[in-house]
Amino acid sequence: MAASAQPAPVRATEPVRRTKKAREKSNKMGYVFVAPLVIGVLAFAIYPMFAALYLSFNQTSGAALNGKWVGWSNYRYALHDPIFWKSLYNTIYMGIFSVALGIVVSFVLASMINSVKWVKGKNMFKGIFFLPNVISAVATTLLFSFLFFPTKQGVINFVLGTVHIDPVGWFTDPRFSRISIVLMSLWGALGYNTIIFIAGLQSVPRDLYEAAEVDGAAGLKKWWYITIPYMRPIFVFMIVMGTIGSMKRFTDVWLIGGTAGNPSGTLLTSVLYIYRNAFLAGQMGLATAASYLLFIVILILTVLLLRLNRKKDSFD
Amino acid sequence: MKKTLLVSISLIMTLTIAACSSSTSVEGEPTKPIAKKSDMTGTVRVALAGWQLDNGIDAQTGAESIGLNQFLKETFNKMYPNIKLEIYQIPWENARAKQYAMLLSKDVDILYTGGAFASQWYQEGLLRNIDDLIKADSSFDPGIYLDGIWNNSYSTKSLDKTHQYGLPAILGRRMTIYDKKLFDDWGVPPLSSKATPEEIMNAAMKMTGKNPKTGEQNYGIYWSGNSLNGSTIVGLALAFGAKGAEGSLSDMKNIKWQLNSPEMVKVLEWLKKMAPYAPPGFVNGQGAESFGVAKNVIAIGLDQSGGATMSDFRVNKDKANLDRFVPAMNVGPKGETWVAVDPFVMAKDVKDQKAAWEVMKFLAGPETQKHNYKYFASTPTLKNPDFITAEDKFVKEALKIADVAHSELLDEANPFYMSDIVPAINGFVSQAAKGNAPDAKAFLDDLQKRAEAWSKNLK
Repeated sequence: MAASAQPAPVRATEPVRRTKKAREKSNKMGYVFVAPLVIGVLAFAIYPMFAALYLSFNQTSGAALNGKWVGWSNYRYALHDPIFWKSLYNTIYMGIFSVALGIVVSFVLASMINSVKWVKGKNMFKGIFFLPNVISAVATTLLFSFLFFPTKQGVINFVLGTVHIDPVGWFTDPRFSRISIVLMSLWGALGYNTIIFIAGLQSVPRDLYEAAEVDGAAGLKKWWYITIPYMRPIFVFMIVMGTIGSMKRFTDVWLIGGTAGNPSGTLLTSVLYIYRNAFLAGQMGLATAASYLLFIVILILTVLLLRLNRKKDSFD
Repeated sequence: MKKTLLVSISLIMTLTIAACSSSTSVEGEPTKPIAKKSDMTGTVRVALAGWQLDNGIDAQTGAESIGLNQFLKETFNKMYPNIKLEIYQIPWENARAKQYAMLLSKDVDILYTGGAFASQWYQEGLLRNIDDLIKADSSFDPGIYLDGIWNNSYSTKSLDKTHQYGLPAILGRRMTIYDKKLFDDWGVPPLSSKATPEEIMNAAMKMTGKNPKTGEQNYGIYWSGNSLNGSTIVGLALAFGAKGAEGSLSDMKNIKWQLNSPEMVKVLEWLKKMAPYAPPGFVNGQGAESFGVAKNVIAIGLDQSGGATMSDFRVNKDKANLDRFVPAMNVGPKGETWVAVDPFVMAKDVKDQKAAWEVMKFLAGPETQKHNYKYFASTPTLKNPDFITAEDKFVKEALKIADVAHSELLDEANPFYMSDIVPAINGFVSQAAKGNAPDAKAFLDDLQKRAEAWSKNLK
């Protein structure tokens, strides 16, 4: 009995001693498993990035990599082109409003859905609000071009007409065109943003609310002092992703404003500028130079946003 | 309960499908037996932008259409039983990128594509000349094609016009069409058969406002304010004698831009004056949804095709609308304008050249053009298309315009024209529509500077 009670040697705490051969074999298997992904990333992400960078220093006809080396000429041209700056201004303008409005509206909506006690009803609302997200940008644009039709035949203008407001040129008047695009994109992105926020809201610990309730905090105060601060990482994620997405805006503005970004070039975005140079002028060198300039702008904005989030708060 | 519901739904669906399906099988028109033409062997890879391969139903008219697959089975496959066709259908929306990728990866022999794409790919060396194939083939007669197209289109000819690289297959229709009823309502005399910009302007200005008979809001004119190729700009430039540039498209570095010439100023002044007489949505290509049908409120449409009127006629067999909408030549001095041509072209690295040439000839030839006209209302590029129906006055007018067509430097083959000039002028027009367009000369001076900088950047 006493002999059988002897403790067995504790193998788990001993250093694992493997032979060099076994280690090499294990490494090889690891390389085999990661190879498809690494090859995919190298071929379809890293190579195109470097090829595009090389192209941006060349004067080329089409996508061939055998153009004439022109140094910084394409960058100089883009930076001196007022159309490039105009497109960047439009992109940032629409981006700021899209991100700000999108986040505020979808967070309020997510909070409301999250507070619904009826589980089936909660799922129904999630489904309804997510629905626009599965509709293609082309279909959304077509739909809104009829909703926002500039005469009384347009649905919105018809409704405005019933309260004696003259038809608004939603997509035809330079004063309204960018905001109309923001409203359209808000409708499209609302569902996705709301779902992300709901997931975040469900991760807020219940005991924080319970402690606040003991201290006498009411609904709005709990939302303001617990929910919003706790959701900061989600907000940062949504702002960063929203900013990157907004800086790449193309399909909707192209379908509505054409290559001119009509009206008056207010819908001309940076990607539309790149598209015009790449596919209409065949100037791949200039287009890739503009793409890298846009990349730098996005990078700066992302770094700034992440730095703003470094501030510690009571939940960190 | 669930089973009963399931059976009921299945029955309803079966009945619905049976009721909606055709009672007869889709068959091609009875034609004379096709004889074998050659024992030539080979495999040809064909990429077609936008063609319909399978049989289907026209969404507007409800008529059954024969797709390319059945057409080829009944014709080409019998003529060349040993040539195997590998056909790839590509939607127009992303045809440019996909066909370009196919050319770069050498996965295609023959392409049907947009004229501007073809011209650009030819300049990049991705397409081959077909001069040698034409010369060696005594059975091929270039004389079947419209002279204006065969001799002048950059969609099939090199920029210096010394080499042929494509065969014209389908023509774009762009003509002036006016609504005779609205002209009568307003008491305005009809346009002449070759209406000039001045004549159009005078008429359009009189017909904007409340229709004196119906009380509806009418608009004097329409053109697409966000057109990709700016065909209206080309027509007006021809009408006012504005060249836009001097030199050759094959040497863009040394082109001499003349964008701020007095003639170009006239073009912009005309657009500026006319913009307030168009429906507000025209700056985004909207507002002409009813042009060509009974509910129309626009008096004159520039660069119109007549497609809606012909579809309406095919559905209702009512000639009232057909008589109401009258085509006229375009605004150029001879009634000409820029004419879009979508060609068949051959890849530089074609695998089986002889077989590919036979396929290319057939697909751009009269038999296929007849098929495309009959089932898809495509406009032929032929000099004598005897298959055009008597009522189709729009295609007849388009052929007259195409026959006098000629290419100038303001063309979709001109990269700066497409990427900057057209968008800039479209932007100018959208400002004019709001009554705040800049001074035309100052605007063109700025455009001229940008064009010069662009060319300089190429050096």
